[in-house]
Amino acid sequence: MSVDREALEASLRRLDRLAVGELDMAGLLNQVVDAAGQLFSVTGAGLLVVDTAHELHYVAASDQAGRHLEYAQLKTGEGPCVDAFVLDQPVRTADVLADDRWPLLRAVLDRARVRAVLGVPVRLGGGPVGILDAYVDHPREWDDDDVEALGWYARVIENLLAISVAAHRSDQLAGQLQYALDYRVTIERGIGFVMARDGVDAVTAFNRLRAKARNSRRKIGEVAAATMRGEPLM
Amino acid sequence: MAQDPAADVTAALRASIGGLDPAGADLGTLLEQTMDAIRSVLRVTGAGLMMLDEQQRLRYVGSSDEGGGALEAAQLRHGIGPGFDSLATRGTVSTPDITADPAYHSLHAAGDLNGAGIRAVLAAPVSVAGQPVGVLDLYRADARSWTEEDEAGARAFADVLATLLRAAVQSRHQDALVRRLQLLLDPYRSGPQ
Repeated sequence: MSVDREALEASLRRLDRLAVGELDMAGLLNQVVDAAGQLFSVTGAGLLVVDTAHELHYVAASDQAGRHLEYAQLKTGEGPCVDAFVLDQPVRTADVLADDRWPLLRAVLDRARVRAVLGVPVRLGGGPVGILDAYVDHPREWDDDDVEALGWYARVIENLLAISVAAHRSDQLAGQLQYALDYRVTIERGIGFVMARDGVDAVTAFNRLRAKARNSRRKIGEVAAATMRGEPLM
Repeated sequence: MAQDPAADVTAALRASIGGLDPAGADLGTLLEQTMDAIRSVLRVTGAGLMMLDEQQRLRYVGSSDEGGGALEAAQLRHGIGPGFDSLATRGTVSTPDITADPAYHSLHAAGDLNGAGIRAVLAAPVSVAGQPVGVLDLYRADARSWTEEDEAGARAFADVLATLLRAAVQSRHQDALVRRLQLLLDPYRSGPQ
């Protein structure tokens, strides 16, 4: 069924007036992962997400044992979640301590409260970007309904990540724009300085400052200020 | 695989989401998908979502199926229902059979729910920043009592919806800030003239 977007927009305008606080995606993801523990009658749940180097990182877990499971998999480089990410499909084990697929993980988890584990991929942009997993503190079989249900919940995590990414990009852009706003006077003065010193027009002066900023990996405001102090541009 | 020894979740998350493609991050679409997830995870026949607008009026926002839509429409048309009660009491409200419940007599007497396949209904409030903002309604096609586990599941998903809405609002605030900054920078953005 489609969403009534006009009604949704009207509701969001009302929400805009609420003091929802700063964007804390780690906190919000923790809440959603925590809820998984209640929804699926499992002992706990966890979430790993990949970075730009395609390395998995711990993001959230509902409890200490869940955190231990995530870090153990990251440390050993193996486990149901690692396999689920690489294979881009759900991976389940009735008892990770009796499963021969991950001997290194088994050794690290030996005294942990984690036994049955189910990991499902979290996808964004058409590919896996992380893993949502659920675990139980005793051996137990996972049926296809469990896999399907956790898969649906992974879609919810994907939705939250999608909003996070959009918000993160806006946050970065806002930071860049705020910098430009704060330093516009310095930049304008720097342009005027280069125009007068080098006998060039404004566009050329601006491009020279920008090239220097790029080459020296500094912000253009810093370069403009340094140039006016006598630092050479070329 | 990398390990994050400092457990700096925020830094790790920024490292992660920085490279992701947010294609399709439209809240309406995301809510549709979440309603589908609710139906599957909670094993109900359907679900609906109503939210308060700027005039504090409850409005239909979305549902997982036609039944969910019919349930919300009936409640809104008559101004009564488990959803309204849930919002008023700020707690879960349920009925094992809405078609036989005297509390909602006018709903089924008017025939709005005839043929819609709606019997058991469970409503949970959705709150953001401590304020009630809407209600999540779940229904089943057969008449039966809701368990404590069902109610906990409904509350958990109402919280999930609240989390999504909160993230969406924070994202809107960021977008609004970007637009304001762009306006302020407009004379300077294209470089010197």
